Amino acid sequence: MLHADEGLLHAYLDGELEPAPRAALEGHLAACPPCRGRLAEARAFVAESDDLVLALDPATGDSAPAPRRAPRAWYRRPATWAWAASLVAAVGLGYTWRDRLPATTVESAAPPAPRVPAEVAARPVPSAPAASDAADRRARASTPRPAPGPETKATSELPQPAAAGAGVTLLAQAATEAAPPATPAAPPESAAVRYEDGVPVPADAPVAANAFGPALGERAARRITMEEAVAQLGGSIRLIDGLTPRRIETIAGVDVAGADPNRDVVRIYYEEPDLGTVTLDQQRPAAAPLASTRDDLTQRVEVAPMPRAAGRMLAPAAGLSTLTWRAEGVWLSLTSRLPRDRMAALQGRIR
Amino acid sequence: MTPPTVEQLFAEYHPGILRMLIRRTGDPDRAEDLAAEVFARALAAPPRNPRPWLFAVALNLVREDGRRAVRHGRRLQLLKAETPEATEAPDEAYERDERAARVRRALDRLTERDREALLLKAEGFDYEEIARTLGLAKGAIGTTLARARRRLVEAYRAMENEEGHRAAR
Repeated sequence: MLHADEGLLHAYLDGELEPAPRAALEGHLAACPPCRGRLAEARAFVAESDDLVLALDPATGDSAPAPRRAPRAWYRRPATWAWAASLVAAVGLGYTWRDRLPATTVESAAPPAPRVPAEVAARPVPSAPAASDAADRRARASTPRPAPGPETKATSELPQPAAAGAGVTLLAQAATEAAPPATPAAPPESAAVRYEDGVPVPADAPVAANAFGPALGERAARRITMEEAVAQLGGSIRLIDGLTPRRIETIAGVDVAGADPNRDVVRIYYEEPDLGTVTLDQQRPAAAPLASTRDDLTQRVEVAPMPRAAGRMLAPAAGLSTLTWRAEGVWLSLTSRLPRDRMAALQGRIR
Repeated sequence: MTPPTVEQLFAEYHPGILRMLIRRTGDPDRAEDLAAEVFARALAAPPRNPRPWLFAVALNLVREDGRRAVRHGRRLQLLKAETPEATEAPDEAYERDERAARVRRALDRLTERDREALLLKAEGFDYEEIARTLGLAKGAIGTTLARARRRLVEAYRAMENEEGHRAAR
């Protein structure tokens, strides 16, 4: 094979190559240090040009969300104590607040005999009530909004994936539809919630004066940099194409519905005027077949086209929807207040 | 399946189209006008494949509007002071504006096709959609984006260097 041309490398990084040419390119990259160098260069161009395009966006006014910033500048800015304080306060308050919230029950979305592939059906699947409960806990921890949630109903309308072997595990067909809010991005009308850096916290909660106390326990979600997140995930991270991450955290798997409780989860927060708050959770496989050396670029690259609209919709409280699936062994989970079709569209933008 | 109404199209696509138009023109008021025109046209002739259609119309309008603007010598950038920027410190706002202006000049150095491919990619378009919107072959999109990204970054870096040298003198 001749050396890979730049267009091919960009198509690879954009997740646009079909399996066969992708495998051929990966084989070539494994044997060709110059092409690995060019891949690294292409990756840098992609990242930097994405940053530059984002710099064209105007700063928004005085209402949430905060001004859109280029991700690079954002990642490199050292975390300030104010950031940490508001974050810790949000998580801690969310945790303690759950006892004050009305118990929002989600009709357990036990699907009527879902058509799941045999290999998937054999996989241990958390029971639906447990998953819902965990999702509920998480929803309350992250968005303690006491407003009564919209009615939910169990449904199984999500399209089945065309092939089960496409790197996605359809855990179950427990799709639950939450009525979409009229304006997903609108701030809550109730004065009971305020936003601190995009994180909803009770309006009457004290500002995090003493947020570093022991009350937080082991439930802390810790803000991390992009580089730390990439390292935690074994060398690659999935992002929603075209959106700017607002914050990245690491959270114990035991606190995230559906995740492996034994490993930490990386959570990326997005905040967009037209989407509201969206979180993308990801957790790498237990036995990550990734390179231990940082120089092995071919093994650090994991760009997989995401199958669209395949996955499992959980039904957390208060209108939040969660879509959970696996791609190349990585566990992924998308949560927002968007209706299902827009969730599926967002899922298709994950690279 | 019934085709989506213009209201539905507006709810789904207006934010993205407006964002792309602001990035493309650097003028929020003009971008608003152009976005409104896009949906007026969609009302007149409802598109069958809305996303590529709407973005293609938006990009065509920018080109037409640019030519008209040059002819008539208009394109006043007024009322900037009305833009609320209360949340940013003056220094930060200044730095942001400087950077945005530099990026815009770098973007202007790209060919129209490269620029449009880059902006559509930033809106989450995949190669198939970019190809359909711009009337290109799908196989050409990787090369187009590679060139666009490289040129944008190199033009930006060159400007940074030039301005750094000028400031040092």
